[in-house]
Amino acid sequence: MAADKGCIRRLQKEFKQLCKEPPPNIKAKPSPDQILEWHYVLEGSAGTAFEGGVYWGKVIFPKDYPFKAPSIRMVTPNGRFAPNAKICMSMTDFHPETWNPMWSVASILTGLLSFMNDDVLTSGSVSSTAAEKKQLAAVSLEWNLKSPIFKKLFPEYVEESERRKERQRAEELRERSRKESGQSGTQQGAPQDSRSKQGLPLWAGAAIGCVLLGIILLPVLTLDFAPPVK
Amino acid sequence: MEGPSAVAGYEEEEDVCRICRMPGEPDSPLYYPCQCNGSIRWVHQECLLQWLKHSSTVSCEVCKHPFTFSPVYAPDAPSRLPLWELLKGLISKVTRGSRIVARLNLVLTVWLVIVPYATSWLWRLAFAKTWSMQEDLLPQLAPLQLLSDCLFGSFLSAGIVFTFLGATAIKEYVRQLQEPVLAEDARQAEPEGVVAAFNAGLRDGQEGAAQHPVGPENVGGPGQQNVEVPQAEGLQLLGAAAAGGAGAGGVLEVDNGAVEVPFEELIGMQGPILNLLENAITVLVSNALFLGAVVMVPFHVGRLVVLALEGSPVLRSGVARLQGLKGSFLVPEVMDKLAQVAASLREEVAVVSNWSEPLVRSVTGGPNGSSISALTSFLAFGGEETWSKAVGNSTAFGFAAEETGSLSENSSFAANVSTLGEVINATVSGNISEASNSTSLLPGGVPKTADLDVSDATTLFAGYSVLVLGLCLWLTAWYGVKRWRGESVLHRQRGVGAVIAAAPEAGRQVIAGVRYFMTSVKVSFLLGLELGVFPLLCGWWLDFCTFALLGATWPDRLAFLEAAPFTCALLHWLSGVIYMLQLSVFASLNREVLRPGVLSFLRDPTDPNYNPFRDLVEEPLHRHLRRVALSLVIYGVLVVLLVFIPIRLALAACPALFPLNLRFSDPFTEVPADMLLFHICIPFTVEHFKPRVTVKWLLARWFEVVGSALGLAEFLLPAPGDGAGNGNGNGNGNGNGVAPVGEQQLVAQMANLEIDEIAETPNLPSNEAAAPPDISDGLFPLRIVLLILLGWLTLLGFNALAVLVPLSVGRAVFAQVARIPVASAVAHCNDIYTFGVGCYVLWGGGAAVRYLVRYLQTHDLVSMAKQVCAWALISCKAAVLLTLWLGAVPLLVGLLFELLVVVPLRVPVDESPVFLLYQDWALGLLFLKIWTRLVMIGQGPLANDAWRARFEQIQALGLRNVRVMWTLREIILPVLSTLLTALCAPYVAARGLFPLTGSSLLVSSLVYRFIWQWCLAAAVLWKTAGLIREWARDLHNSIRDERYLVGRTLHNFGQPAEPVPSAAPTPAASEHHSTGVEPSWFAQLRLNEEGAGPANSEGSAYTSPQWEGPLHEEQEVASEAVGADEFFGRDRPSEVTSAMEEMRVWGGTDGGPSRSASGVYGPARAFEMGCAAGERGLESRAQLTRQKSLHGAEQSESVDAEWALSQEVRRRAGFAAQARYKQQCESGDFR
Repeated sequence: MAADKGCIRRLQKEFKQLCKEPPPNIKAKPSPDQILEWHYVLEGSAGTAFEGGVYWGKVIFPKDYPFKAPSIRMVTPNGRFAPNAKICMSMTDFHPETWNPMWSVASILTGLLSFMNDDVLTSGSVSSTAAEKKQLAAVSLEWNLKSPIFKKLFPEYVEESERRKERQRAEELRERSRKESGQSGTQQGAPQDSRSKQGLPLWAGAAIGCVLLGIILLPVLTLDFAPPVK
Repeated sequence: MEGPSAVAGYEEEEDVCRICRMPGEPDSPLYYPCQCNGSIRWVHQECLLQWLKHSSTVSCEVCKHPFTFSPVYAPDAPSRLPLWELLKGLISKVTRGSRIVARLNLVLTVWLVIVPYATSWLWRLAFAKTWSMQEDLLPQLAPLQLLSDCLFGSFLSAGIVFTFLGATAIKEYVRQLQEPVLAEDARQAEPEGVVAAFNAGLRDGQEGAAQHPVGPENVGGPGQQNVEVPQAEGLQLLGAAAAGGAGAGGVLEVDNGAVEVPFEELIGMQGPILNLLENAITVLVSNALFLGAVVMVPFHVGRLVVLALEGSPVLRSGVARLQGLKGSFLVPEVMDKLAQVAASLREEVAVVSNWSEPLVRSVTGGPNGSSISALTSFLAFGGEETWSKAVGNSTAFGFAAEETGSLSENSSFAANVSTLGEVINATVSGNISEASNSTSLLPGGVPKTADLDVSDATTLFAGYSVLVLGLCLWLTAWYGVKRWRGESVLHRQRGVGAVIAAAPEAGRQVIAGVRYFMTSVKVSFLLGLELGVFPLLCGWWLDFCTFALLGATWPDRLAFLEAAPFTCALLHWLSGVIYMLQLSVFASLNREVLRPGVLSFLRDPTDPNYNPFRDLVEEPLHRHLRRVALSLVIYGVLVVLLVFIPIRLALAACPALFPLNLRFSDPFTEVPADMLLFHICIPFTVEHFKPRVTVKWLLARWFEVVGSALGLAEFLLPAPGDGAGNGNGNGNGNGNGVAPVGEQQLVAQMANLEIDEIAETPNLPSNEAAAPPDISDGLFPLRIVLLILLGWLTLLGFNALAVLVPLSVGRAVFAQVARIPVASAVAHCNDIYTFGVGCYVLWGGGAAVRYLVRYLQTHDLVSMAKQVCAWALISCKAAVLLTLWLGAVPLLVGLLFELLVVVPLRVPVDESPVFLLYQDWALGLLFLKIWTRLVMIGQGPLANDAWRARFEQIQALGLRNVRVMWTLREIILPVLSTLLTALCAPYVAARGLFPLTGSSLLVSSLVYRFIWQWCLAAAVLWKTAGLIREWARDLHNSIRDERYLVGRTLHNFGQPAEPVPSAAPTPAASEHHSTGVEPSWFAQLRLNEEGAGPANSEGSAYTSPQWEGPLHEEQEVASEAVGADEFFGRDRPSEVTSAMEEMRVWGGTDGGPSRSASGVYGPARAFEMGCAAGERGLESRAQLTRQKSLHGAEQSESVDAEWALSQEVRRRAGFAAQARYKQQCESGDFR
C-alpha cells in the first residue's frame, strides 16, 4: 500500500472516532483489505422520499488523504445519484479547491446525506420523481444484500432485512383480511374519450392562406420598380 | 501569559491536530494559528505547512485568518548581503531561470513551429498529385513562407481539435438522447472495429511480408524496405480505424475516460520531456489521420473520378498493368500512406473499377442509372457478379490471399461503425489512388492523365460526392440483399458469404454510425437555417418594408450588396435578429399579462420541458422545415402589418417628415456620438423609464378594456385568485407550436391555431386547470377575430404615432436649437438623435405633468411653490457641479487624450492640428465613465479606495442633500487641477520656456508636438523606477532567504511575532518558544540539500528586523482595534454592538468564571474564549453557548458548528473581540 503513514494513522483515528460517536443514520468502515477504500451506508432521512432506503456506497481516499479530497460514489440505485458515478460536491475530489483537511469521514457523509435530500443537479446526480425515489428506497436493502461485500461488511442489515420482511408479511396479512371484509366497490374503467382533433375546414385554411399571401404581397405591389429619376 | 501546553492537562479529551488528528508531541507541539476554536483549534506546524503547500493558500479556509510565520535566519545572516554573495545568488537564479526558459523555448518551438509546420505540410501532401510534386513541396525555409505555414498549420490544428471536440459533444448528446441499446451497441462496436482492423492489418502485414520476397518483379528497391513497409501497414490500418473513430469522436472519448492531466504537463512544461514528444507525435498523427481521412482520400477519389470521366479505358489499362506489376510500386509510393494497404488487398482495385464503371455510366446519364430502384437491383444482382469476379481475381493469389482479403473486408465493415464508411473507402480508394498514381507513373505506357485541368476544390467535391454516393449505394445494396434474398443468398455464395457473414452485426453498427452522422448533419443544417438564413431573410424583408421610411430604393440596396456583400449581409442579419428578439420579448410580456394557457400554442422558452436542442436532434427534418416555413410566413406578415402599414400611414399623414436622415457620415454621428448613445443614453433609458413595466401595464389595461367590451375578459385574463404559480399549465398543450425562435401575440395568422387549441382543450383532461372558463358560445371565434383585429388596429395606430410624434417633436427642438448660430449644424442631424430627443422631451413633459397633478392632489399651491423653490436651488447647485463634472472634466480629458495619442498619430508634423472640441468632450465623457466605473468596482489598475469612498459618499447623500463646497473641494478640484497641470505644464514649457533657448521654429514646433508624450514617458519612468527598486529589494531578499533562511516559525493567534523570552513567566511558554524555532521540513530539506549548516536552530534564532516580512501580531491587533473604534465610533452596526455587549457581559464585567478562566489560561486564551463567545452570541444561540463558553469553552465543538458561522459574522466578531482584548490590555484587567 502506497499510502502515507500519516494518512493511515488519520484514517484509523477517524474510524475509532466514528465507532465511538457514530453520526445519526450513517455507518462507515474501511474495506478489510484496503484502508483507502471505505464503505458507507446512509439510511434515508425520515420524512423524505428516501425514508426506509439503505444506501450503500464507497469513499475512496487518495494516498495523501487529509491533504486531498476523497471521491465518493453511491453503489445502490437511489434516484438521486447515478449508481457508481463520482459525486460532485464541495467535499469531494470534484472540487479540490474547496477541500479542507479539517473535514472528516463523518462530516463528509453528513454532508452527503444532506446533499442527497437536496435536489440540486450536479455531475454524478440524476433526476427522478419522488415516486421513483420511494420505489428505489423500498427495494434498496434487498438490492444491497445481493452483494456479498455488503453482506460481509454490514452483517447487521441481514437481520434488518429479515425484520422488515416479517413486518411486511404481517402487514400484508392485515391488509388481506381487511380487503376480504370489505369486498365491494371495484372501480369501473373510465371511458376513454378520444375524439380526434378537429381540423380546420379546407376552405378556411385556403382563405387564411390567401389573406396571408395578400398581406405579404402588399409591399411588393406598392413598390416602385421604375428606376429613380436622377 | 502561558503557552498552550499548560492547558492540556486541564482537558478531559486531549487536543489533537486538526489535520493529522494526532496529539502534540514534545518535539512537535500543537499551535493555534487562527481564530478557529473547538476541535479544529490545534495544528502541527508540519501538517499546516504541508497543507499550505498542497493548497497554495496562506490563510485559514474556515476563518480566513492569515497564518503568521516569522522567518528564522541563520545566526550569521547579514542584514544586507555582500556584493559577491548577491552576485552568486543572482547567477544561480539566472541559471535556474534559463533552464526554465530553455524548456519554454522547446515547448513553444514544438507546439508553435514544428507541429503546425508539419500539419501544413501534411495538408499540402494531401493535395499532392505525384511524388515528384511533393518533393517540390518539401521544406522551403524562407522565413515568410515558414511563418505563414506555421500560422496556417496552427489554425488547421485548432480546427481539427475543435472538430473532434464538437463531434464528441454532439455524439455524447445524441447518445444520451437515443435509446440505450443503440448507444450500447455503438460503444461496444468501436473497440471491436479497431481490434478487428488491427488483426486484419497484422495479417495483411504478414501476408505481404511473405509475398514480397517471392514476387517475380520485385524491382522497386531493396527487399528490406519491402518487408518493413507491410508491417507498418498493419499499424496504419489500425490508425485508419482509429482516425475514423476520431471522426465520430472515438479517440477523444477514450481521452474523456482518462485521468485529467494538468495543462502544464500536457504541453510539456512539466514532467518528463518524453511526454512532450509523445504528445506532439500523438497530435501530429491524429492530424495526419484526420487530414488523410477527410481530405486526402476524397481528393484522390475525386481525382480518380475525374480520370474515369476523361477516359475509363485508360484507367482500365492502368489497372491491368497494375495487376502485372504488383509489388513493384511499394517503394516509391511512400507518399500515399493509406494507399499502402497490403498487397493481398490489391485485387479490390479490380472490384472498384468494375463498380465505378457503371457508376460513371450512370452519372453520365446511362439509361438504367436514373432511378434508385434500378441501381439497387443492379447492385443486388450485379454486385454478386462483381464479387465473384473479385473472388476469381483473388484466386490468382491463392486461397490464403482470398481469406486475407475477406478478413480485411470484414474488419473494414466493423470499423465502419465508427468511421461511417470511411475506412472502407480509405482502403478501396487507397488502392484506387495507388492505381491512378501508378497509372501516371508508368513509364510511357499510359498518357499522363493527372494533368487534367481541374481545380483541387472541384476534385475534392467530386471525391466527396462519389464517396457519399458509394455509401448510399452500399447501404441500399445491403438493405436490398437483406430484405429480398434473406439469409439464403448469403449462404449460397461462398465468396460473398464469407464477407457478409459478419455483416448483420456490422450492418447494424454501420446504421448506428450513419444515424449519428446524419443527425449531426441535420442539426448543423437546421442551426444554420434557423440562426443564419432565417434572420437574414427577416432582415431583408424588414429592410424591404421600410424603404419608404428611409428613402431607399431597390437598386440602391442591390448596389450596396454588390459593393459590400459581407457588411450588407451582416447588417440585415443583425436587424433580423433584433426584430425577432423584439417580437419574442413582446410575446413574453403578453404571456405574463394573460391567463396561462391562452398563449399555449406558442412555445414558451421558460418551460422546463422545452428543450430546443433536443427537438433539433429528435424531431424529423420535415417537421422542422414546416415549422420554419410557417414562421417565415408569420414573420413576413407581421412585418407588413406592424411595420409597413404604419409607416405608410405615417407617410400619408406627414409626408414632410420623410425620408429620414440616417446617414452615418455627418460629424454628429462619428464614433464618439454613437458610443455616447449606446453607453450612456440607452442604459439611462432602460434604467429610469423601465419600458418593460410600462408596456406591461399598458398591455394589461388594454386587455382589460377590450376583453370586457368583447366579453372575453374571463377567457383572457387570469382569475383574481390565480397566482402566477400555475403558469405553463399547458405549455405543451399541442404539438404544432409554431415558431421555432420567436413568436407573436394576437395576430390573425394564428387564429387557426388558437381555435384549434380551443377546440382541443376540453379533450385533454390534463389541461383542465387552464381550460378556458366558457367556450360553448357559438360567437366565440368571431369574438376572437374581433379581438385580434382590434389588437392589430391598436398596434397599428401606436406604431404610426410612435414614429410620427417623437420625430416631429425632435425636429422642432432641433430647429429651435439650430437658430443659435454655433449649433446650426444640428438642423440636419441624424434622425436617430431627433427621435431620441423627441422621446426624452415627451417623457419629461409627461413625467412633470404627472408629478404636478399628484402633488396638487395632496398639497396646496403655496407649499408647492416652496417645493419648487427648494428644488430650483438644488438644481442650481447641481447644475454648477454637473457642468464642471460633465462638461469641463470630460473636455479636458478628451483634449489630453487627443494631444497624447491622436495628434501624434494622425497629424503630420508640418501641419497644425484642429481640435474638434465636441468629439473630445464625448470621448472624455466615455473615459470618465469608464474610470468612475472602474473605481467603483474597486479592481484593476485604476482602483483607488479614497476615490471610491468619495463617490460612495456622493451616492449616499443623493441629489437632495448635495454639498457643493465639499464636492468641489474633494472631487472636482483635484481632478481639474491634475488635468490642468497635465495639460498646461507641458504647454507652458513648450511655448513659454523653450523658445527662450532660441532654437529654430521647426525644433520648437516638434517640441510642442511631442512634449506631452515626453512628460508621460517621464511619469511612467518614474513609476517604473519605483517598481524596479522594489523588485530589486525583493530579489535581494529572496537571495538572502535562499542563503540564510533556515526555517519558519508558526505563530499562535494573537501572539507577537518576535519571541520575548523575558515576558514569558511560565516554563510552558518558554518551552513553547524554544520549540517553535526548530527547523521545519523546509529547513531540513535545505540543510540536507546543501549541507551548509550554519544553522544553530536551538533557541538562538536570529530574526532580522530590517528585512522582515510579516507585521507583528500585537501591532496588528492594536491597529485593528483602533480602526474598529474609529470605524464603529459613530454608527456602530447593531450586531457588533450586541456582540460587544455580550463580550463585556461574558468576558469582563460579568466577572466570575470567565475571570477565573483568564486567570487560569492567560490573556490569549481568554481572548480566544471571548472570540468564541462573540461569534456564538451573533449566532443567536445565546443560551446554549453561553453555558458552554462559561463552563468550558475548550470543550470540543463539533466541526459543522464551525462551518455554520459565516465569514462576515466571524470578521465582525473578530473585530469586537480584538477591541475587547485591547481594552483588557490597557486596563490590565487580566489578573
